[in-house]
Amino acid sequence: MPPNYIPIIGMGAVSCAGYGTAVCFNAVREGRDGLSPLSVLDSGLKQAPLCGQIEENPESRLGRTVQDKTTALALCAAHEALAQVTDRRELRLGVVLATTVGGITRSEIFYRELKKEPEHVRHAAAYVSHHEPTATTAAVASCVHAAGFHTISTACSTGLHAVGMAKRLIENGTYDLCLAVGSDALSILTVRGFASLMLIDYDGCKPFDRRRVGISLGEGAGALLLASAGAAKKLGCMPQAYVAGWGASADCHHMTAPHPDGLGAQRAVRSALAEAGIEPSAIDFIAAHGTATPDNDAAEIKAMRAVFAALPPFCSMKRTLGHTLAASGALEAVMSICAMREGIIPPTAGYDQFDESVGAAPSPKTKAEIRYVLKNSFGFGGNNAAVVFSGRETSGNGVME
Amino acid sequence: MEELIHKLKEQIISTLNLSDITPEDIDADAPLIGGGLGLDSIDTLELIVLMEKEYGATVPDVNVGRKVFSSVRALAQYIHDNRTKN
Amino acid sequence: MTFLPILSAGSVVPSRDPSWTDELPPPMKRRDARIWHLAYVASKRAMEKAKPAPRSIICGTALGALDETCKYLDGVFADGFGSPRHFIASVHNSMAGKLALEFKINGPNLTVCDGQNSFASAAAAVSLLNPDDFPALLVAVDENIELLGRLLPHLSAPCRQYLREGWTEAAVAFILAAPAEKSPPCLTAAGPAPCNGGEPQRCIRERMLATGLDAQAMMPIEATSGSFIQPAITAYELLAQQSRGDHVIGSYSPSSGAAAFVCVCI
Repeated sequence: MPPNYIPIIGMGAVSCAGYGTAVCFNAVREGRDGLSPLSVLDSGLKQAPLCGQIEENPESRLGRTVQDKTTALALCAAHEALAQVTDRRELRLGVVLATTVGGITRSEIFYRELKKEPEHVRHAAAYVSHHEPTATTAAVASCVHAAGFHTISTACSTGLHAVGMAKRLIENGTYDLCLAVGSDALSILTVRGFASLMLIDYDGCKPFDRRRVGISLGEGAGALLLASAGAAKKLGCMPQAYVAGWGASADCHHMTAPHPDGLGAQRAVRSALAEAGIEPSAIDFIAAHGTATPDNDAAEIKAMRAVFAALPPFCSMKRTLGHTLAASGALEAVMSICAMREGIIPPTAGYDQFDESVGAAPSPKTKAEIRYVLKNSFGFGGNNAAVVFSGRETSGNGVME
Repeated sequence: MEELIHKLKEQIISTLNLSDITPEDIDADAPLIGGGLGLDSIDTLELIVLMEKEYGATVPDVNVGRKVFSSVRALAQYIHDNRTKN
Repeated sequence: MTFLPILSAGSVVPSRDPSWTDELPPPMKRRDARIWHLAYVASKRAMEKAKPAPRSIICGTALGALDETCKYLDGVFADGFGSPRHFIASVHNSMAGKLALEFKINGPNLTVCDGQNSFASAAAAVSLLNPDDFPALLVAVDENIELLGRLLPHLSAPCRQYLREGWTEAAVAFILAAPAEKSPPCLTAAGPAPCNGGEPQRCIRERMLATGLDAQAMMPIEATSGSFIQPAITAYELLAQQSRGDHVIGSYSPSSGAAAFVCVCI
């Protein structure tokens, strides 16, 4: 199939660095450490791990109460992404929303209270109706007057899959505009869950570093508004970048650990490159998944070496933003596009010491010609996503979008 | 120590849901993980939780865990040396 | 609308199939999550009837591995010790991940969670795959746990209306080939669309007309949206009974206020 580069005409972001794409990217550009000891919820852990938490309540940004934090963060990002689109007329808008936690931030509290006091079941209606991830998507769809939506949940890879699905929904003509949103708030379930897997670095994650021992969780949301070329033109919106290719695969190796050679990751990346109609050498930098677990970082670089004859420069944003789970693919995609537009390869906060077993170091650049960036996201269940973003509307060989 | 080993075998069976195995089936000196019981790395994590919960014996990371779980006897020894409960 | 040829189908409805667990490999039967078991047996039954093997998996589930989530939180809230195995299983996409592992399906792997619309939403997502990713394994699965029974009387009236069948648990699997001209047996689907307060059946009819489907083909929504998994069960039964014609199976999710549909052409 000929390459089809889909315009991105709006973006939104919220993270521990703050509200708004520019604010978040300031932190990424500086390689700021965005983590702080967990205080936004009582996780019950003896030691509060360093997390990328959002202390300012998103409801105050929105000026109203919202069913749960995941939904509120999604709304903030969605609003920003659509800010430039003032008159949509008959253009049809769809939403693909990615989340792991959804309304669990509230339903886990309900469950805890229910266990203490069975009579608490009388309050079920208030808590449970927003438990389903589809309720989060519906809230966003309602706010943006979307004609339709899908809700997906594939753990850490979901945000990028949302971008890929949005591309397809534009390509096949289902929608003229499609908003890909990823959102997750911190929850007792995820904080305690990752702690029980012994995957958390309580002192803050160190991506690709020799001393790395685990992740730092975060919360946030990222949104990308995709449009058909015709819709972008009608709206008079200059694309900020283009979605050039999407790859998806499963490792078939283990329910949590990545394949040590990153076979599934290789397949996802190759698929994305093939769809973009480019050779690996065209990629100018890789915005890695880089969660700082001993396994992920080594497997990821090994996989990239297998795909790229010369490993491109890479970075991880997980110390700056935290690992925002389903939001990470979308949020870090927005940051990667900002980096591409500004012509920089961001520093990797938390990295200090070279690791032989990774065999490569993140390489920031304050000035770079970036035409193509590859974003990776790998999730539980061996689920892999890769998306190639382009700064230009056609691939190098001049094939029209 | 033998009493602890027997108790551990029972706890391993119930925690890891090994419903078709009896304590007599488990060789106290055979490897726990990757051996005949079909246990995997997630089971290592479950056993770490068991240690903490039942005996207050903390296993600080998965690497220490692998040595500690090299056999039921090694596990019993670790508990003997590190327990803070029961 | 794009039509996806149905190569085969499988299902498991435990209430009608008491010995279904006999089909589980012993290691899985001993230790893995029950919802994984449901998805596995339905998929295995579908895969036995068709070659070649699927290359991608799209799973639709309303509540995911809720039992595992509760078991995990039980540990956390009771004595502060949550089980790692239950946490891993509680992630919504754990079923699809387990299917990929067991059947060695290494292509795209997506999990769609749109309440009662999960089957339709997942079916619609299948048509977004690349031609190389077919055949695709489409699995709809939801489980029933004791907690849900306690909650039901206390849920809002709309929720109870669209859960009249209660918390039926089942798994249904379809093996679908790449989009082609309409040639029965095949299916097509339209994902969730907000009803904006309108009556769900009417909203679905309007969308059907917009896509050129015959309005007569729509089954009453009361019959097809009585539980999370009812739409998928209905689709399977129509296929199994070889009911000739186009059957539009509508669904509505009170949690999202959106309706969707699957059209099975036999």
